[in-house]
Amino acid sequence: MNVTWPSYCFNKAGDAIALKEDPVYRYDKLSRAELTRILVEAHNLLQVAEEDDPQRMLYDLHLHKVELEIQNQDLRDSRLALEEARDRYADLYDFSPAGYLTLDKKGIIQNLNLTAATMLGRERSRLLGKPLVSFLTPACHGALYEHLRRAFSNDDQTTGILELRCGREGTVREIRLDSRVQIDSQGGKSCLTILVDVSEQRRKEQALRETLIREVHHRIKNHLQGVMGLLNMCRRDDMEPDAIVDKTIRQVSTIATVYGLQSHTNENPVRLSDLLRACVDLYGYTSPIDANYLQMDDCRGYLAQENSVPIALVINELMSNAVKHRPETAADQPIQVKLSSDGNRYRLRIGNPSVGLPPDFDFGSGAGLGMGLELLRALLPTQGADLSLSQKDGMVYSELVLEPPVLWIDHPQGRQC
Amino acid sequence: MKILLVDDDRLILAAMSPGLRAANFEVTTASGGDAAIELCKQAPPDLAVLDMRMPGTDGMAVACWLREHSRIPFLFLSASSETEMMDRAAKAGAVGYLVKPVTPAQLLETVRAALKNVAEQRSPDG
Repeated sequence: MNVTWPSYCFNKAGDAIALKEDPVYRYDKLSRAELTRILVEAHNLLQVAEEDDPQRMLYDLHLHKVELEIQNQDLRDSRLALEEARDRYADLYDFSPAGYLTLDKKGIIQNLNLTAATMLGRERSRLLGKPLVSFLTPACHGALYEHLRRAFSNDDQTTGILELRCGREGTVREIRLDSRVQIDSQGGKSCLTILVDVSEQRRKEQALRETLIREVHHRIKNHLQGVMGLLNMCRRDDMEPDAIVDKTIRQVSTIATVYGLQSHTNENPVRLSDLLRACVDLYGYTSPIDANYLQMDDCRGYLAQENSVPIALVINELMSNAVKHRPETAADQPIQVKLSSDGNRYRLRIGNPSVGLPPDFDFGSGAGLGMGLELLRALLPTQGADLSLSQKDGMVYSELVLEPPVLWIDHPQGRQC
Repeated sequence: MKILLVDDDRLILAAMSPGLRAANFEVTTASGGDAAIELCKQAPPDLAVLDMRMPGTDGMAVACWLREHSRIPFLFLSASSETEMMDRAAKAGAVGYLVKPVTPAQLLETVRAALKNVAEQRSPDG
């Protein structure tokens, strides 16, 4: 088929581009899209052109030139992209908040970024070839060599903290070294090491540790103070030594139980039903107990840290009284424990068989109270807690009602009260 | 004589009060600094026994208030045995500093001695 070869094609701007008449036409002035369009159009013509068309060879040569120009443009674009990427990564390397070092087996600096140079307090060019050990405090020299030995002997990251003399003044800072071996194309090994100044972090950790220790001391001393006071109260109650020991053990166990429960949560709130179950369990070995709090798994009442120990000791004292005042003839009758809720109010009722309350007993006024009930009155918060005692049909019932602000309804992180 | 015991730990208040009551002191308690100041306004005690570390208004803040607004003497019953805290207590005008844990007898003895010293200092001959 005879083809009419175009003398020109047109670029986007409508400029005529000579294909045949101008063999030195500067195709590099065209965009890649324009060159591609020429190729596509020409390809269509070549497909239908006669093989022996004399114009075809010339036209074909032009097309090769166009193709080469496209490849050239692609190469230039790739090179530009690579240079931009290289510059970007060089910036990331140089201006990283961490110092980067490349070390050989002897700890000689092969390469480093600007941050590392700043940390070491010299210009980068003056640090190349210098041993890193010369910037460490003498006590850390051995540690660096050991760090390098471990780094070069395994493929995993090796971490250590060393004291580095930083800046021009040589201020000693604690620096974490994270090192990993790399192997170059010739099989040579070097160590890539990241330097992170952890002085401030370590100072904060130390301060936090000291605060925690002080807090633990504070709590331990407070608990010891409370226990000493409880022991002293027993002395005033004319109790037998065995009874004093038993009572004190239960009180200490109760306090320990609260802290055991608090340790399960971050903010130390204790679920009321969990606390009750733990306190009552202390008596389960010696006395039959009929408890229905086990159905209280949906209990929404939580005790804050400051209320947990006092309320737990109140529950312990109520249980202790219930066991103590049960007549021997009713030793097989269980202590009744029931926890119920009415909206935001939780009601704990403990009942025991009894010969009855003393005639002069009045919990409200404090008349006729033993040491235990006196303790109860002192432990109960003035707001949000109410304790009453009553008797009916040979049973004595103590009823503890708890509500906000003693109780939080729902977990404190989403508390309502 | 009236003693005000101030501590955020109610167990300590509950356990230390009976010993003082048994020695015929009238004891009132407060489980926070604000409540302590309120009690001092309403019924000033003869001596306040303050815990140093409490959430919110702490013992030192109560001590400052007492010094500025009353003549109520005070001593600290604190878990801290740091010299710095003892110095701060002395500078605040505390008449005593007890490090927890103390026996009820130690507390009683310190309270009696503090009251006696204050009485002697305030007497015309003191």
